[in-house]
This record gives sequence, structure tokens and C-alpha cells, in this order.
Amino acid sequence: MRIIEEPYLTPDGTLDTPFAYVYDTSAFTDGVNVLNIAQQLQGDSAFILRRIMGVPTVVDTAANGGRFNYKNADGSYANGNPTTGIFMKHVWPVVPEKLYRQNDQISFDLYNTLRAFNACSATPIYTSQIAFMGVKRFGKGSTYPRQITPYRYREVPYKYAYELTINWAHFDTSGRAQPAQRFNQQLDNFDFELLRISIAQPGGNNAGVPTALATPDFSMTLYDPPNTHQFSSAPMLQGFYNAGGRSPSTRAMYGATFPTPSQIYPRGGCITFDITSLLCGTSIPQSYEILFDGIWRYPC
Amino acid sequence: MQAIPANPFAPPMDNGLNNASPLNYQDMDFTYPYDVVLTALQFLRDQTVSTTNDADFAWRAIVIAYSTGSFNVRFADSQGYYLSNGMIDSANLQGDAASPYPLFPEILIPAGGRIGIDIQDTSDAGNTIQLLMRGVKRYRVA
Repeated sequence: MRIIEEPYLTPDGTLDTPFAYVYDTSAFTDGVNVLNIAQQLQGDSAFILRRIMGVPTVVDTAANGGRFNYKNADGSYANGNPTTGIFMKHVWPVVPEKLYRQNDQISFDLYNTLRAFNACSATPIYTSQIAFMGVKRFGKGSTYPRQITPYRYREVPYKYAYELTINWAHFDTSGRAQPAQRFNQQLDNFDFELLRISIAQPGGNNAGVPTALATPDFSMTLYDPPNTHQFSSAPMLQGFYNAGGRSPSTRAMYGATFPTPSQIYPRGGCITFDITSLLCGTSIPQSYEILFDGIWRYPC
Repeated sequence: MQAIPANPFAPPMDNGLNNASPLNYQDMDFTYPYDVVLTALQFLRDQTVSTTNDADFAWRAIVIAYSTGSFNVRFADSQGYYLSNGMIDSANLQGDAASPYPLFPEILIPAGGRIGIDIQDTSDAGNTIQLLMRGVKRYRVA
């Protein structure tokens, strides 16, 4: 049997929604081993873990002994080397997926921490996050809103390009971190199935070549179609969303396709997202294009 | 059961792969690492990665997680049968953690068994290496 692709099946009545648990290590100290860190899950649903991203942003290079390990829901290690960890690059696929039940935690170890940061005078802006990405699985009888297009339709590829300008720095003039700002992409008269998000700087790189954004200039929180639930437990680095290739020959660093499963935003509604600037005061303003790539559900 | 529409842009891992465990077994993602530091041109024969006693291991992929230079390697299954007729250049085991070098079909290593490794530095310098044997632990549930 060599056919491995087939529709993914879930128990009747359950609902899977994309979600990422984001652990921010900004408050850690560099150069230490931190064991048994707990990413507590939210109490509304089970969580299916499918990928881990961002380990190189929180530990030192492999050459310098930066390593990682994590645990299953029952507390056993998910990899060998329980006392030294393994070298992990930007993306770690979890196949088969792992189930963490409601109120479980994802425990993990970091060896030789080193936080990534954007240099900003004497105060660095840390961009060190691990994202545990997968789906929340709501049980039968959950009141989480389900998305149904209430008319007959045909599918048409469509994209919404949002022109974003970040004109505020991470720190204000007194050195306090500034809050996130909210933005909306207004939708037209048809339901829109969001399949992926690409982020680029329209001006391109230094050579003027349009390129996907590769630097952690901001973090983002995406909201679900009713604009009531976030798809991540904390603002997530733009690279974890960004499906755009860094150049025509270079794939996106994290290869993310978020949100998966796709999300259907209703006609006349909007895609809501919060942006947290990770820019230094000397770097603003900066302009970006956030491309919401998906499918129009055109009435027929 | 109900089918979830796939996101056509997403890899199967993100869309979800159905439970493919054999009847009366439960597969759990697991990785056995092999760490070694070789001196210049050192050749280590019959190295062993021991598998734990709690479950069989279905070995599905290889990842060179880290190396400071080139090397040759040859793997053997739990009974000592080599998986290639000679040493393989590390450059031919292409892949990374996100898209490992696949072993197809999977190789079943029994609980308490071993993965055999012959490994030789070809960089003519010291070589720190971590290999990851990716796959699933196959727990008996009935």
C-alpha cells in the first residue's frame, strides 16, 4: 500500500481549528540549561501537535551545543538523549501527530540558551520563540462557532493584499514595550477561504528585488472568522506565518502554511490581526505587504 | 468519522495524517540520536544505537542533524544486515529535520534491539556528528 494521502478523518462531531502555542523565552538568561519548561495548554480543548518551530531562536548553534528535547503528554521524552537533547533546526515535524489532552502541558528542555534579538542600542528586542503548531480539537457539543457558507458557490482563487506600515517602535521613548495595534482586512461580498499568508517588503531587498520578509520585524496575532478567538496563545513571529519564499530559489524559512485547516471568513466581514512592532526606533517607519491567499466562494 | 477538507498549499503533516498504526498497536513519533566525535579519517565499525525495551521501533528516516565535515556511513538493521553494499557519502543523505532522508519501506527494529552503524570521517579533520534515526515507537495496546 503506497498511497499515503487521503482525507484526514476526525471523530464525528469534533471541530479542528488551527492553533499555535507560543513560548517566548525573552525573560531567560543566555548560556544556561533550562529543563522541564512547561507550556500549559488552554482548558477549552485538546491539542494535536504537528510541528515545532523556532528552536534556533532560543538556543545556541549546534556547534556551540544548543540542543532541545520535549516530552509526550505522559511525561516520557519524545526523543532519545533524555539528558543532552538533540540538535533541532527551524522546523521539526511531528509525525504521527501527538495528542495532548485538555489542560495537559508540553514540557521541553533547552540546552545552552541563546536568545535571538534585534539590536537596538543598549536594549535588545528579543525575538526568541518556540511555536508548537497544530490544531485545537473541540469536542462534541462545543459551542465554538462552525463556518458554513450559506449559499451555493463555485471556487475562484483570490488574494487580499494588505499594505501595512509600522510607524511605531517596540520601545517607547521611556523604554517601555508598546502594545500591539489592531488591523483589519475588509472582505468583499463573498465568503473567503484563507489558505496561507505571505509577507514581503514591497521595496524589495537592497538590490531592489522583491523578496519575502526574512527578518523578525514584527509579531502577529491572527483572529478567527468571528474575531473572537486568537489562533495563537501569544503574538507569533512573522516568520512562523510567512509562506513566501525568501527568493525565487529559496523556500520560506519555516515553510508554514497557516492557517491549516483553512478558515472561512464570512462575506462582508474582515480578517483581524494584531501587530506587535519588534523594530528599533531608528528603523521606523517600515512598509510591508501581507498577502492573504485563498479562495473566493463565488455564488452560482 | 468525518473528513476534514485539506488545505491544498499545506504539507500532509499540517493537514493531518490518519492513524496508520497496525491493528492492536499504537505508533508514537520517536527519534533515536547517534552522537559521535571522530578524529581525522577515523573509521568506527559496528557502532550501536540500542533501542529501548518498551516498544518496537519502525525506522522511517535519517537526518544528519549536525556535522562539522563530510563522512561516510553505513547502516545495519537489528540482525546485522547492511542496508547498502558499501559506505555512503554523507552528501548523498540529503535532507534536514523538516524533510528527512526517507527509508522506505520502514525497517522494524525490535524492542531492545539495535541499529548498527559503520562511520568514517572523510574530512581529514575532527568531526562532530549527530545522526537522527526518525520513526515511531510501536506500542502494543492489546
